[in-house]
Order: sequence, then C-alpha cells, then structure tokens
Amino acid sequence: MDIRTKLVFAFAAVTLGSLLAFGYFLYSIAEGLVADSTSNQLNSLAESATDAIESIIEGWEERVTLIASRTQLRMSLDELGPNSSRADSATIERILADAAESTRSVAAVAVYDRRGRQVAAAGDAADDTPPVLPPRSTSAPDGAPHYLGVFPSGEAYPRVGYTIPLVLDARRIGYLYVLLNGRRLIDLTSDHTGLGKTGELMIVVDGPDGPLTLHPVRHAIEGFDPDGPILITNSDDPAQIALQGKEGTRTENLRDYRGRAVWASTRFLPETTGWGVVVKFDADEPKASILEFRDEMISLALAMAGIGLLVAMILGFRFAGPIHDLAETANRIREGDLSARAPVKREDEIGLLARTFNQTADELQERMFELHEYQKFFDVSLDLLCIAGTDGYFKLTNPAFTKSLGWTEEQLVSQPFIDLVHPDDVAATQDQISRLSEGQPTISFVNRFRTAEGGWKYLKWNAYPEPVSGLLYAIARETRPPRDV
Amino acid sequence: MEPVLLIKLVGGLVYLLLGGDILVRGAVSLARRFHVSPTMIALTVVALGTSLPELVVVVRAALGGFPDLVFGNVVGSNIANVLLVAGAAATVYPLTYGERSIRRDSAIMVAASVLLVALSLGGTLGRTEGAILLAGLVGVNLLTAREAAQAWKDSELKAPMEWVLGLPTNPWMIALFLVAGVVGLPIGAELVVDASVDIASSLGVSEAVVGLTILAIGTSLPELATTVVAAFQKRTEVAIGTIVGSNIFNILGIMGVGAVISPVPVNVAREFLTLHFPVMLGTAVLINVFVWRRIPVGRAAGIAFLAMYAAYMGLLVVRTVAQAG
Repeated sequence: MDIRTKLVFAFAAVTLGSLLAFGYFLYSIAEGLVADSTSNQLNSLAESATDAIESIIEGWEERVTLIASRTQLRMSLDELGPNSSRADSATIERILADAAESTRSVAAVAVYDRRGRQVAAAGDAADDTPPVLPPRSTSAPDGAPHYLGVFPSGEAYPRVGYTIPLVLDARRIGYLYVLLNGRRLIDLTSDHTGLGKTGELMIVVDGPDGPLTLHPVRHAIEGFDPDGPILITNSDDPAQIALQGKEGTRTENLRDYRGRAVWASTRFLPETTGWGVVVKFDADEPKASILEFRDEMISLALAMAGIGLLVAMILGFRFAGPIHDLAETANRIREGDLSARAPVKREDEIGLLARTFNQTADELQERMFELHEYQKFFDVSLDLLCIAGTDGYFKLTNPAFTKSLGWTEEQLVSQPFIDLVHPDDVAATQDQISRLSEGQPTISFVNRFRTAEGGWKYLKWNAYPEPVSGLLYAIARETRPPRDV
Repeated sequence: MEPVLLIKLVGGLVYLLLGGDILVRGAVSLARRFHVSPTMIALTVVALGTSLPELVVVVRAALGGFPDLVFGNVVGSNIANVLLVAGAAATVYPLTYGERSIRRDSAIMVAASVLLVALSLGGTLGRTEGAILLAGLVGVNLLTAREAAQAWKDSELKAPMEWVLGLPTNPWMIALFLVAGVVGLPIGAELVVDASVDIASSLGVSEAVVGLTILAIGTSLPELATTVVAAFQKRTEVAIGTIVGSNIFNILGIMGVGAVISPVPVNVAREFLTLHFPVMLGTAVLINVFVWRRIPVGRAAGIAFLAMYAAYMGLLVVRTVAQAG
C-alpha cells in the first residue's frame, strides 16, 4: 500500500475512533442531563398541577360550607316538623335555588332531613334524585363538607358530589347535598402548555373496574369516546401507581393507556378526594431530543474526521511526492542516465535523503568517469592484462589477449586457463598458482600459451593475489623463448 | 451560515473523493485477481469509479426528495466544468487538443444537452426519460470503448507508482478498500446533501441555487485541481477531452440514474428551463466553436470564461436577493 493510503487509513482510524469516543462521552453526559431536567420538569409540573387541583377542591369545599352556613336554611329545616309548614319549605327551596343560580359551579343542591327524606332540591337534582348517600357521610365531623364521589354529567366534565351536616345548636338536623360541575378540572387537564407534543396531565379516581380518568385524554384510543373519560386497565400505568399512593417520578417500566412507554410523575390526594394525579411524557420525547443530539454529534464527528482525512491526504502527497521523485530518479540512474538528480525542495529527513542520494549519485558519476579512464588503459595496453579466479578461470581479459593469442574473450573466460598452458608448463604453472593462493606474488614467471592458430607463445607473468576476494591480477608480456630451448 | 455546515460540506466532499478513489482501487485489484482484462476494467470500474462521487450525491438527493439538488448538481457541474475548470486551466496554459475524437465527443455533448432539455420540457423527468438517457450512455460508450481503454492504459503507464503501489494485493486489503469505499461514499453523500439543504435554508436560497453553486463547484473541485496542476506542468492536451467526457457522463449517466431511481418523477423547476438549461447549452456550444475551428483555448479566452462564470454566479445571487426582497 502506498504511503498516502496508509496515512489516510491511519488518520481515519484515529480521528474517527477518538471523535466517536469523545462523542459517546458527551452523549452519555447529555443523556443524564436531559433525563435529570425532564424528571425535574415532570416533578414541578406534577407539583403545580396538584396545587391547582387542591385549590379547586378547596374552592368547592368553601362553596359547600358557605351554602350550609345560611342560618335561615338551618332554622327553616329545624322548624320543618312532621306537620310541615309551606312557608318553611318555600324558604328552603328559595335558598337552594339562589345557591344553584348564584354560582355556575353548582349543578344541583338538595336538603335532607334527619331521617334522610329529601325536603327540597334545586338545579339538576330537582328532577334527578342523587345517589344514596354513602355511609361515610354520616360519620363526617360536624360542620365539615364531605366528598362523596364523582358522577357523570352527560358532558365532557364530571360532577363532584359533596355532603355536609346541617347543625343547629349542636344538633344535627339534616344534610345538605351539593353536586358541583368539574369544569375547572377539564380546563386544567386540556391545557397542554409545557407538556410538549405527547405529555398530559391526568386526574384519576379509583373505580370498581380500575382507575377512571375524570376527563377526556389527549390521545384518542379505541373503545372509548374521545370526549369522555377512559378506564385504565393495564397494571403498569402511572395512574395505578398514583392511586396506590406512591409519589415521585419514574422513568422506567411505565406504560400509559396506549401501551406507550412513558416517563411520569405521580401524586396522591388522600386527604380530600383520594384522586391520583399523573403528569407524563412519552419516553420517546425526551429520548428524541437525545437521539437528535446523538445523530448530530455523529455526523459532526464524521465531518471532522473528513477534514482530518483531507489533512492526511495533503500530508500523504507531501511525503510521497518527493519519495516518488527519488524513486524515479533512482530508476533513471539504473537505466544509465547518470546525470539524473532528485529535486531537493525540503529541509526535513526526506530532503536529507534526497541530498544524500544526489551526493551518492555525484560520487557514482565521478567513479564511473574514473573507471572509464582506467578502462582506456586496460583497453589500449599492449601488455596482456587479466583477472583470474583461484577456480582456474579468467574473469576478465583485455583486448591485448585477443590480439596476441587470437582467442576471443568469450573463449578465454569459458574454459580453465590451464587447458591453454603447454603440457610441459602445467606443473610449474600450477605450482605458481598454489603459491599465489598462499599470498606470494609471481614475478617474471614464464610459460607457454596456445594460440588460436595452434601455435605457442611464451608469456612472462607478473601476478598479484588479492587476499580478500581470492582474485589474481596478472600482467603478461610476450617474451622470447628462453635461451636454453 | 453556521461553520458546522461548512465542516459538514467539506468533510463530506473528502469522503466522496477518498471513498471513490479507494473503491476504484479495491475494485481494480479485485478484477485483476480474477483476471479481468484491463480493457474491461477501464470501461467498467474506472469509468464508473471516477464519477462515483457525483453519482452517490445525486442518488442520495433523488431518494431524499431533493430534485432541485439533482438538477442543480448536474447542470451546475457542466457549466462549471467548461467555464470554471477549462477557464482556470486556460489562464495558466493554453488548452490544445490531443485526441482525434474530440470533435465527435464535443458534438455528442451538445446532443446530450439538447436531449436532456427536450426530455425536461414536459416539466418532469420520470423513469422512462431516465432510461432514455441511460440508453444514450450505453450507445456513447460502445462508440468510444476502444479509446477509453487506450486512454486508461496510457494513464497507467504515466503514473506507474500510483497504479502499482496504490493497488492492494492482499485479499484482506482488497476487502478493506472495498468496504472503506462502500461505507465512505454514502457517508459523504449524506453529509454533503444534508449540508446543502441546510445551507439553502439557512441562507434563504433555493436548493437549486445551492446545487448549481456550492454543490456543483464542490464536486468539480478534484477536476479543477488536477486540470490546473496539469496546466502548470504544461500538459493540457487532454483537459478539453476530460471535461467533455465528464459532461456527457453527467447528463446521460448521472441524470439518467437520478431519474430512474427517484421514487417520484423528478420535477423540473421553471428556472432551469428559463435560465440554467440555456446557459448549459450555451457553454456546450461555446466549447464546440473552439473545438471545430481547432482554436486553442488561450489565456484571453480563459479569462473570458472565468468572467462569464463570475457573471453567471453574480446573476444567481442577484436573482436570489431580488426574490427575497
């Protein structure tokens, strides 16, 4: 693989790895922050919703107490014996009608005597007898309004029933029954401000089949009127938790009436009504912002890594370029262009390498020039010059060899030179060679060499052994036959 | 404009460039391992590979439902190739003509441009029109197959270092190259298209304008760099041929693929018919004037080209400002 690609891969691995690690770190921090802030938000929403509901309830109780506190009402009721006077009855009815008309929140109001007989009624309850009074009402402390329960109104809002004992001179003389419109509950639960796209506030009451909402819910579900309350059946709904009296925020293992995972904060109102309050978001919603953050982080990390790769690519070009030039120059020198030099543009290691390379090339060119000079001596010499190995072969012979003996250089180097030596001189020649291999030079040794034409020539040899390489450097000159021959 | 968008755009372009390059090298090595002939390699892998960045961007934009980016990129690239790339290179060193087939190729470029405009007159570009463009590409390739193969062999000879050292040999390395390319290209396309759309909305300009300017210049940057560097080295005889070839592939190949894969027919914005198509046709004819009369594109012409490009860019800005105002 080339340097550029290696750098790119290395950069890709390092930048992507470190950016993703850093991103993951930031992501987990952000995840914690979002989770914390969402649960804080849920908590404070639940708190303020509970306050609002409590103040609504307080208002209702005050209203009930106010109606019950009319002395004329109580006195008329007390007067109202078995022989009831029309005037008393009319007074009671007038007072109730006043109360029913004066406040919109009062849907119906009725008065019962000690024996539970309805004495007078106004509003809806005039025609529609309210349900039997629950036993709790009888044990209620004197003078305090008592919550009876929630009743359907035929509208989107529920009605809330209250009873209060009517006491005169420390005697309990009867009961007042008030049915109040729960419109303000609907105003509260249908306001989704601050609850995002999926969040909602729910007020639930314990019913015989499970928790019932007091209001239509934000998300329509099958089987229930979208304008009416719904029954909650699943056991992991936050409403169940609220009605179990557990308060606080939970982000796990909660599913709402749609079966969606939710984060919720729950409250319980045991003192007044026994209602549960739930504020919840779809778990996806806080997660969506975290996921969006994560995606943005990933794409930014990738983009930054891309910039890193650009740097790697530029570095790669800057490093590989001069090396490519150097390799190309070396190639040209190998092909015989000794004048080729690498461009030196840099002061770094690659520049140093290029400079050293160029100096080596200078040196090489000089040596080659010198060699060329010596080559000329070798070529034009009248003496026979040769290099021979101790293996008995010529390695190199000069043109004078060919001129003198008639053999071509190929013929000379392709056979043991001893074969060309006169049979009578073989022993002496071998003796000289063994002395040379021991490091002793040969001086003025004469033997006979066969010529290509089949004749013999006397050669006088000077030879020097090169101990390291074992090569013999020899010079021979044609000589006259010795005198005694 | 947020700097984040710029980082995304530049980062995405790097992924496109590197991803395309690495995928081609992996694919060439793979093809060689299976003894595919160099001619086939040149005609398929390398020919397709050099246009991969534009291709994945257009595929991403078409699938993402940004037809104006598709048109903007193709048309803007063609205009930028002639006026910006040829103009900048000619300013450095006159552009001459080395290839004998340049007259024919230039004529094909005009024909392809006319074909695209004719198909777009209906207001949309659907699968059928895309298929017609791709059929045109196949025809052109059959016509120019031999020269393309020769050109690649020449480039291989010219840059032995790139093609010998740059090719992975180990099967694992080949796999790494292929995977890196296949992963890198869509990442780049995603980043570039996302950034383009966001840039358009943050500057308050149309996606068409972003496609014609930022995206087109961005995807033309590698060509711009290689052509200008070649001009500095006085090797300009292939510049016009490369530009013409790239423009033909842009129209027939990239626009064709964009139209074919788009889930709904690609809508042709009106401003293309009234302004950008005529400009593209004009630049194609302009190159033909030089090519057919064999006039080298010299420095004066180069400066004129650049001035025309600047004027066109200026016109886009003025129109955008006028629309906004």
